[in-house]
Amino acid sequence: MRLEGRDLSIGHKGVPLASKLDPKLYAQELVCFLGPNGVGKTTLLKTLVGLMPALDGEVFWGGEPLAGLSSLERAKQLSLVLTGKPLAPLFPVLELVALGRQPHTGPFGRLGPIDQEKIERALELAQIKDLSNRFLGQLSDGQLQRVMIARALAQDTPTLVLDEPTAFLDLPHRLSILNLLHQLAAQEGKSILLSTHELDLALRLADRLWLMDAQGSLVQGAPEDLVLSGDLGRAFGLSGFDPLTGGFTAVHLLNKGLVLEAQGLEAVWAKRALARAGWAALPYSQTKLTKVPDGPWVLTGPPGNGEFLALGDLVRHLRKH
Amino acid sequence: MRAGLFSALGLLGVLLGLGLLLWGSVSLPLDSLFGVIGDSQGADQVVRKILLELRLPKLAVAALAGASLALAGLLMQTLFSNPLAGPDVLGISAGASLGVALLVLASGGTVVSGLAGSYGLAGAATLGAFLMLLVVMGFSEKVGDPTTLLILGLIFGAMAGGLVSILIYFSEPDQIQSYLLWTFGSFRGLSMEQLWVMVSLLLPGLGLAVFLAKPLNALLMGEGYAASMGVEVKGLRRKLLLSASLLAGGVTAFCGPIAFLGIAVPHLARFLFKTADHKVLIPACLLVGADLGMFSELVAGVPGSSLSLPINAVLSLVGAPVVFWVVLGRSK
Repeated sequence: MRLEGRDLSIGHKGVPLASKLDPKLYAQELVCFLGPNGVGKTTLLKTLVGLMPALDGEVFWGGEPLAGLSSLERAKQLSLVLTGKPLAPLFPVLELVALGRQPHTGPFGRLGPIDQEKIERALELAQIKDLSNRFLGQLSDGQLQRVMIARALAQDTPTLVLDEPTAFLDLPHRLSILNLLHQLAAQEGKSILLSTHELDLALRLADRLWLMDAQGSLVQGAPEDLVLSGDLGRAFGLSGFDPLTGGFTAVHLLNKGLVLEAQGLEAVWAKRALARAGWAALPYSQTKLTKVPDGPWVLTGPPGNGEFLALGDLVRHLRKH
Repeated sequence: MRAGLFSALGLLGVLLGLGLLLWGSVSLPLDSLFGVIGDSQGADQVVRKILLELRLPKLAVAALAGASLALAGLLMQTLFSNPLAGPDVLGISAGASLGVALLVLASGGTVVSGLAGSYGLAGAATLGAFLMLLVVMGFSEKVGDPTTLLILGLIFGAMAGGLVSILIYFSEPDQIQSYLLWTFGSFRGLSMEQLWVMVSLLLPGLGLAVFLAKPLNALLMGEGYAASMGVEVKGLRRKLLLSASLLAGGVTAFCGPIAFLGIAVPHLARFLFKTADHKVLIPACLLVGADLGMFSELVAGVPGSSLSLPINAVLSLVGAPVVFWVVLGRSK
């Protein structure tokens, strides 16, 4: 076990947010920590990594009580990626990644051949070799996040903890960052704990989930087990969680129906567009929507016949009536 | 490239130093310098006196003060993770002023002279600077936002200024004069003994800073990251506090509150060397600071005339555009 809390109470200035928590992070696994905003995800992370004291209970790193480790010993066990940007725009990327070697270097931080090798490897793993001569101020948010991950990798610790590494990123970058972390756990044998709001991606990529609900209780398990047990839907307390796809479905009021004559992908996406306008596909109805192969969508019956080249036009037409 | 820049700055320093020795109200030829170095008997005793007792201490003080304030500024900017932090903005100079005002005005203006006076003055300024920095640091642990902290520093500076005004109001004219002369800021008029007292304050501050280069680099990323990289953040804060108040307090005690240099030089150094690495920035700030100190003293002396401008006026004219440039550059 790489990281463990036993009977942990967390909170600020003696006011508990959650108690009796037993979070566990095993070797070589990617754990995604999910939960609604404000339940204490960041507080639990900070308590586990030693940036905040626990109100009660104890934290163990690699079986050792955290309180007994010096800050240097801690730095060799666990590295961090926090939210927030460093302020220095004139900070060269290579220097920032090299900071990760600090726990391993002497009093003046001189880098030896092993340090150079680890830095090189970190740049390679995070796929930012081409960025190494840039300054922080020249990076996009996604690039900056990779640089921060490379710094944590250069620290060469068995465990990595990341606080919302996908916040402020667009979907392709969120996906690439989570894929990168998944690879690091699977191929480099790192234990990785990250908090995120990416339920979809977490369900696909995480080995286990930590779920914290609004009452402050923590459920742990493989994503599939949590879906099957219903814990996932309960933790978010939201309607619309679809256990079939593991995603959220928008809830539409479907009060009208039509017969849909279309095939494959076109049928799938037409159903979505229709649902948004309040129409469901039925076996029988006066209204019929037909997709002419390589041609338009043809609507017959109420609320009025029409031909549409795009589904967007069709939705606008249906809404008007 | 880095070595070239360092050599260029060093060479510039040597030239400025030569300029300070040779130019002034009386200009001296270059060979008079060799005369004094080579043969103390044959040289003109007046020239010798000017060079060794007036211009050499002035040169040393200008270079030392510039280097120390620049380094103090760099430490403060990293400590507060604020590009506009510096000894005068965060109220440290005001703290030193308050210390000196209390000492000078309470003691009847007599303590400014003599060796005991230099220790007293230095002690009061350093203690004042240290206490003010302590107050600002205390708030910095409560207030996370650097901008709020900067405003707090300005308010504390204003409060210290208010106390000084009250002290002045209740003081005799000659006491006020010795205090006012100190506030104008000057690299001149220090005896060799006073110079040594100043050096004895600055060297420990400098020595401490050199050993902090590595954790300072980690601190650039914020305190959470620094702690995760094995830095004892509380200890580091205390050491930075001590080093910065020794450096700023030591200079302020003997030269008065010097404006702008502390803020502007770290930015110049970062701009020149294109790095955030304190192992480069610390020597760079020392060199650029010393050069700027000597340059402003050279300008303030107005070579060829008997005029001498206040050093703060010259520095503000050089320093203000740099701060302006930083503010503009960050708003982009």
